[in-house]
Amino acid sequence: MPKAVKNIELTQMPAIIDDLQSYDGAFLLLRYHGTPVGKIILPARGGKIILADHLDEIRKATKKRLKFAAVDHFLFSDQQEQIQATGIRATIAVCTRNRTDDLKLCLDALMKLPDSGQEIIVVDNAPSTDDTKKLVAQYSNVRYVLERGKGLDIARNRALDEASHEIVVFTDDDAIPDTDWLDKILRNFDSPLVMCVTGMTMPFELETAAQEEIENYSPFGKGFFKKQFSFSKSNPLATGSVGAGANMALRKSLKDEIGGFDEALDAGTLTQSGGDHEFFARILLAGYQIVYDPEAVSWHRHRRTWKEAVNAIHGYGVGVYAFWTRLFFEEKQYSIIFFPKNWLLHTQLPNFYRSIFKIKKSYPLSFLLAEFRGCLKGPFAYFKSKKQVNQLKKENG
Amino acid sequence: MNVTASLIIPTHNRSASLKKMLNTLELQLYPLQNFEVIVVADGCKDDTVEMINNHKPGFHLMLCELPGLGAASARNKGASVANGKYLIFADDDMELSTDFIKEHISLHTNERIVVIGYSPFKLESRASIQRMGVREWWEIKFREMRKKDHRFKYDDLTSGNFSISSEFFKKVNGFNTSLLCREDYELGYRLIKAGAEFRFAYAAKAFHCDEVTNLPRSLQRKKSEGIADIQIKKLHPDFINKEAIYYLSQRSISKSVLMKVVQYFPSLSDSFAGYGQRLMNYFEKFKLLSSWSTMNYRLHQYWYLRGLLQGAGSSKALYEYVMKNDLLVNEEQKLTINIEQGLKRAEEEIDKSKPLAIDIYYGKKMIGTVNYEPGTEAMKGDHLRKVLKEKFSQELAAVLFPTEIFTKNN
Repeated sequence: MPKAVKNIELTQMPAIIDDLQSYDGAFLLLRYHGTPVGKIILPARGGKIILADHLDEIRKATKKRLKFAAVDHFLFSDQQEQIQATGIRATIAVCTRNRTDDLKLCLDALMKLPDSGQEIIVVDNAPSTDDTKKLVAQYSNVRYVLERGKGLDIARNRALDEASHEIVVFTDDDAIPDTDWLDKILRNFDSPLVMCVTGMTMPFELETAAQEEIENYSPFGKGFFKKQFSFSKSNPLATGSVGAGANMALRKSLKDEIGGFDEALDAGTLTQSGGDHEFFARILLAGYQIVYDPEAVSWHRHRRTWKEAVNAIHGYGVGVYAFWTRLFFEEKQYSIIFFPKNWLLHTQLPNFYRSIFKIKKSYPLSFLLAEFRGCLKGPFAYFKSKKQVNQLKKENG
Repeated sequence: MNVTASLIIPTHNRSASLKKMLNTLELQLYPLQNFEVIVVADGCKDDTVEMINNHKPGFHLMLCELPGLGAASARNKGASVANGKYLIFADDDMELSTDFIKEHISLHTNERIVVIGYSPFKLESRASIQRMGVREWWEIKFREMRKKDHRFKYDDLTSGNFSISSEFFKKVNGFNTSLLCREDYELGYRLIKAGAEFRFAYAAKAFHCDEVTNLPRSLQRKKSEGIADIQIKKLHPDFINKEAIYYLSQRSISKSVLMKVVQYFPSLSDSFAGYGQRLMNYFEKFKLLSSWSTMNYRLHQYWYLRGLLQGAGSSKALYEYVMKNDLLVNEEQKLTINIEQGLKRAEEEIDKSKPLAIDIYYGKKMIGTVNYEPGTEAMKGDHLRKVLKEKFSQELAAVLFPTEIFTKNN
């Protein structure tokens, strides 16, 4: 049941979307003068969607955000974007491993960003071939960095070290950012208090059932309103709604202030994920702000096969419990013990119930089971991974 | 002596940090012969005086001594002996950027300008929650002041990093020395009334190496602020104290009881507050952030109320002081604008007539009123968009919602 993914500009809404022959519907990101205001999935009939038939649904999906977008357009559209942090420059970092097909799409998109003096580096993480190196060589303005230590967080720390500019903007190798993405990210660094900015991540394609279910179960987008996170406003340990590492920017100085990413966490290690969310928590605990700006849009290509999707969800489960384990034992954030209970009672168990009794809006049972198994593994995975990291460090002196 | 700028530093028994500060002043990019530094040693019992007398820097250095009259008196004293056309006030524990003096002076393009510099709060690693909160409060304030749509208010003036022409400072009679604290706000209030134009200088950076702000001090200060706010209200009957109004306008039985207890048995309520304060240590230890924040907020409110009551004498008097605000704005000083014809035009109209209050219309629809607020600079065109966004988003949305998108044409 593939869905086409499309941008729809509400001020120039086409009457019909008619190039959907191989799809049974479309995922639409709805924009008003470019600003994302909502998303909707509409069914296609005979390869067509007649948008005029769905105006009420579109209105419902957008009205909360649209009214403020209309106000902003009236107030600020004739003004030049106020980039307060003048002269702020960025290093874009792509951490990758053996995925040149995805990486090529990503780099091609980065080539389309307007030049505001940014530097681009690709951190090749423990590669088994030199394909990535060869690909990067085709881009004259992209710097290749080889990192032999396996693990996404090791690569991220390397990127923070290698970056020549103050802000390091991370994108996943399987994500394709919009052309105004970098500007929309950078405008938020308007105070030394802002140490991290995250953007909104949308699905790049929904060609398979696995991709659709992943987007449905665990969307990377965190809503259409800008949000500011800080320890004084919300619980700094609850970083699930902050954003994700696929679309985030950090100040390089964070590495000295709060330490780098935890190299026992995230892809390439036993913990499989969680490195970004654990890092967000430490940023907030140090009294800094994180801004989520949904206008900084990037498109993530979810894993295509069912097996990969289940593995990814399993990995989320492991990662979440692993990073909670770190917060408990290393950061001494004892109140984290309430999180597993709340998640289980208010989300996981109701999800199981719905899935088993096939109640509307339920998720695939295989996802729920995989995630739950992951949760149980998480704490052990963290300790084991930590041990491995320490051992490797010892070996390398 | 012929100098342009006088840097005035009041100090009280902090010889070591003052020495460190004086040592870095020679690095100022402003010509050393064009400024003087006036240290006002206020009740110093350490070796400050000796240190200054032995210090022979490349700039003019002057020492005044006072017997411990407080920072406001010390700053006035420094101003009274200053030779410079402009006075720059700094604290004795600051680390100034090398273009500090240069930036301050370069913004003085007319006699009514008051320049406020950027004073980031330096935080040690593993700082307490309370100190992280203080840093956040300051940085949010500075972020707003940096934007061109910021409408300056009396409480933007920070006594530790601002500059003013000495003539203007004399004209408004300097700091009021009778206040318990908040003498900077009170000066800011009079300056705005006298037509001052506040400017923010991000590059005039002074790191504040304050190591003494902690919870007990912060609470004690909150009480002083309550007392000072009543003093200010007595000096300026038109002063609107939003903080106190917010607190007193939500009446409830528990609050009335609290008011009575605070008024008649303050030692009883103080000891309860003391228990709360002790609890906060445990909250911090076990990282129970939300409990900590709630208690922090309550205790600050308590001590503020305690100060207000002490200043006013009784709860009845307090309500009278705080709630009595009859502001009459002349119809002549009120402007009506219509933003349907474009914001640029409305902004020009505001800049032309410098109104105290504004009625805003979109076509025939009333959007809202920007009221006169004493102690706030006159409205400028640059402020309009921010006011509309922050105060009248809902009203504007009702008019501007693009319904045409959702109406079928066929």
